Amino acid sequence: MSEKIFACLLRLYPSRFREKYTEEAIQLYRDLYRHETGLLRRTGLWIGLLADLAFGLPQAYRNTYVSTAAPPVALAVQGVPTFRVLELEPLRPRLFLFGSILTLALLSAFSAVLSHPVVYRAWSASSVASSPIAAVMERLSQTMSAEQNGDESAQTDDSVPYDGQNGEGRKANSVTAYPAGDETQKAINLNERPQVIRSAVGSPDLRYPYPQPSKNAQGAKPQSGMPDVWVAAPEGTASAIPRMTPYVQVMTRDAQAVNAHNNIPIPSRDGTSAVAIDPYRATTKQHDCTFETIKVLPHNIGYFKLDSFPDPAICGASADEAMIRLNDTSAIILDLRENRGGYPETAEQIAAWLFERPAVWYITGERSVAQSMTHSPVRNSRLGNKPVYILTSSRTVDGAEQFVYNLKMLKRATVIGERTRGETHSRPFDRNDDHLGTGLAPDVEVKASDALQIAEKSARAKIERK
Amino acid sequence: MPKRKLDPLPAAAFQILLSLAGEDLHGYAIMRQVEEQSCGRIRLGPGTLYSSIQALLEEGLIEEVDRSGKSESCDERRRYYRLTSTGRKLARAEAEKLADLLRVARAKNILRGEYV
Repeated sequence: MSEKIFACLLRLYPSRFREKYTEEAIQLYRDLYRHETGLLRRTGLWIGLLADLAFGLPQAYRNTYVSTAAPPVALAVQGVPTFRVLELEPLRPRLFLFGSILTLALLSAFSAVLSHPVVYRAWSASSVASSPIAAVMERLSQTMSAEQNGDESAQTDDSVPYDGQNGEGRKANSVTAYPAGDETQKAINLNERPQVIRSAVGSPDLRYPYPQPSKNAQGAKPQSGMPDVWVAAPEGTASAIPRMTPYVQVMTRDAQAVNAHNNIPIPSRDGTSAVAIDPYRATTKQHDCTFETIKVLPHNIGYFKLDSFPDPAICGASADEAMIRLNDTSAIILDLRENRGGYPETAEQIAAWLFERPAVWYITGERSVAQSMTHSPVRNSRLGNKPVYILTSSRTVDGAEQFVYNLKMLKRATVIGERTRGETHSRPFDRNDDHLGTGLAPDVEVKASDALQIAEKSARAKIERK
Repeated sequence: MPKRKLDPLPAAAFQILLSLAGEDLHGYAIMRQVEEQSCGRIRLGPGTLYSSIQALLEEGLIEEVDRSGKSESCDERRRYYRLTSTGRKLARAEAEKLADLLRVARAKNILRGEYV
């Protein structure tokens, strides 16, 4: 007992003292205790120990406890770093403060880096032309601009209609939006064009991301007498570049097809934009925002056929109205068999209705993939826990594939139908899923024409199980 | 020149130096030796003893002795200490200082004959 009391008293001494001498001090106490027999002598011993405490403590705190062993071979050779061992020096309070601030700063910086979206940059975009096509198109545009003497018609990118990309994507799709190397700075004269185009489309380094158009492009031959192509050629300049026309036609086949299908006038950025946008808006509305069918099938199954994800600025409200109409159904079938993509914002807007809480959603651009969250739950939405079926076909393409990809990865929808086309315009997205050229596989692979029937049957079974 | 921690030399430290003048000793033996050489007037407690030993070590006046394997009787858990040459010089200087005081005291007839 007395030994324990003595051990407690030793705790009053500095830690360095205790580390070195506790064992010996206790041994010494045992020797003393054994030597001093009898109550009187042991009382005297304890009085001496308490007095010793008063004298010994100040001295113990004055000591530095620096090692008295011979110092090791000096390492202070010039240019060679040396390290001080903290253990031999007491830590000062300000060091704790400094350490805390430094730790907080590092944690903040680390979290900031983690929360920053990673932007994909193509290796080729830094110092060399991104592709021979881009280089040629850039040079042609410059030539045309020069020939037009500053005509604003060089803005051709907005002439691409529903090609399955948002505003940023459409801008990136422009021939002038690709980074180009120094060689593009030199204009091409009219006599050089056929040769330049021929060598470009025949290049094995052709980097157009889609297999079939790339193949087509490589087989393209300059022709004359083709009809005007407005997609890539600035307005009023098509006749000045007859050699370019067929090539552009091949490369922009999808865009032309969509345009022909929808017959939607294209807004322009030139002085007539105000006039051009109104018909675009009006025609889009006239086509019911490409929301072909919204109805309730037997067994209270909602059916929504949408052939694109239209401009949210024009059709955002319509998209919400469509989802409201499905609100009281027991299951939902989204028919994307003819969907050729569109605006990711609209896709996310529709998807938000399908979740009860924010879900991870990838919004893809031409050169980046940003992780976002759906704006769920949508007020008044009762669709968050309803079964969802998506119908796909080999014509389901681009933005529609991204929509399917997200819902499939989140296990929020059952995909029924055919493998999608695998031609999303977003190259980073292609890398995400690695489905470029192969398309997204459905959960239930059936003919596109049978997909609705299968989906209805499956939905009915699920509703009845509930 | 920085002031030495043991200047002036405390009585306990001087007693420890004197105790080690004859042989290497461990802590308890030092305590016993001090008690004996002071005729029981000075008895060092563990706190005073080891804090003084540490101060003497830091000043290089004593040093630890590695006695492992030297003696079968020695307790390996105990540390042994030895007077260094610096410690010996300091002890001698301190003793001479006291001797001077002693001579003065004798000259002043403060001391009687029984003292050296």
